[in-house]
Amino acid sequence: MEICIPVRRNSPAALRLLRACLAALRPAAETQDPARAALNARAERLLDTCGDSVLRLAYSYLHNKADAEEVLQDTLLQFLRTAPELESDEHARAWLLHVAANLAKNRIAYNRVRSADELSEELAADGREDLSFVWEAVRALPARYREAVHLFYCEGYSTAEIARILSEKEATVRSHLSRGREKLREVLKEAYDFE
Amino acid sequence: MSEKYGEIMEQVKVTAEMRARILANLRAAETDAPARPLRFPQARRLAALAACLAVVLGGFLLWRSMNREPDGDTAVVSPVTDCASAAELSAALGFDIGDMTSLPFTPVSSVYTALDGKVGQISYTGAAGETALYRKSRGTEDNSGDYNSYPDRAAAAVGGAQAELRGTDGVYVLAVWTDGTYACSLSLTPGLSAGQWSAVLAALD
Repeated sequence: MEICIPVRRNSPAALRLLRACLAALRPAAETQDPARAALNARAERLLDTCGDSVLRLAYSYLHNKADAEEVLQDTLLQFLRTAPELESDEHARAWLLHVAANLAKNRIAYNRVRSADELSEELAADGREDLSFVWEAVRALPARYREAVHLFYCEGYSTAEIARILSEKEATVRSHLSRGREKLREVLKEAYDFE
Repeated sequence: MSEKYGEIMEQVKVTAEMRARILANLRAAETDAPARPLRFPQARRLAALAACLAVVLGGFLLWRSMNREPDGDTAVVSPVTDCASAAELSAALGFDIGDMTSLPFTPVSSVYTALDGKVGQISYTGAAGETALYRKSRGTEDNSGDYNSYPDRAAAAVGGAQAELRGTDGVYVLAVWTDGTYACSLSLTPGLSAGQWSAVLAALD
């Protein structure tokens, strides 16, 4: 795009205008604080490496993509605001899941969730009744069982790691996981494959 | 492992559009992040940009609200009700929530709010910018809304219960406790030592 500014040569007002225009066009990175730029870059990397995990955990609580997306966004916002010291990517993933779980539960507590469950609709539309059956069974679990089932079977965490993420005792997580499995076995019968 | 559950969750992914939306929103939110060290000229420029965006966004939202069909599948409830006093807040919630009388500063303003008719919140501000946020709700769930991971934890007595203090380097900014029927939390800025918190909490019922 070409911008034409009619100016009188050496006019101070025109030079000020030109400088202001150039400053406005300068890329944000050039004017950004280096520490903040590094934090922003890390948030973007975390979105790429852990975004799916956080989104899925949020969806397992909220059953709605728009709500899950907002939780993912708010989780990254917390990361930017608090700038926690996370020594490894695994630690960062656990921190993000911890924050996302709390944000999702908070939404449920305040009834700020939408009712549409796109996953149910998509599975039905794809003719995947087998998956739809499993999802409905998992979805019907109490949230405290479902979170343990999700983190164990979808994210592959051990019960000790889940306990740390959810700020629970490991014995409690084991109990929730076991009861969740029992309920799924009762409902799914031969379709049960949570081993 | 469950292959079926894994297959189900494969359908929930961050799409390119979602990624772009989230990054744009994070950048927009960054402009009002208090932790960001802004130099004055940049702050002024960002403030001008934010003001322009606010006018455009406000106009767009107004236009959209005037033209939008009612959204059938969304059950979003306005979560905030302002009250004039602790007594009015107690009446709105159906349980007693009293003013804090043992704060480490003298409040110059108090804001009483019912969140979804379930959580009572009283926000105090002091003359030097000190803040206190007190919440009370039925049940035992942590209602503080503070999801930061604090490395330091300590305990302090409050009424017949034990409050958990959370903070960093011996300075605690949050206390959460429950008596088994109600959950309470108190956030203070600036934070206090465990001893100072004990004095604040000991004065509560």
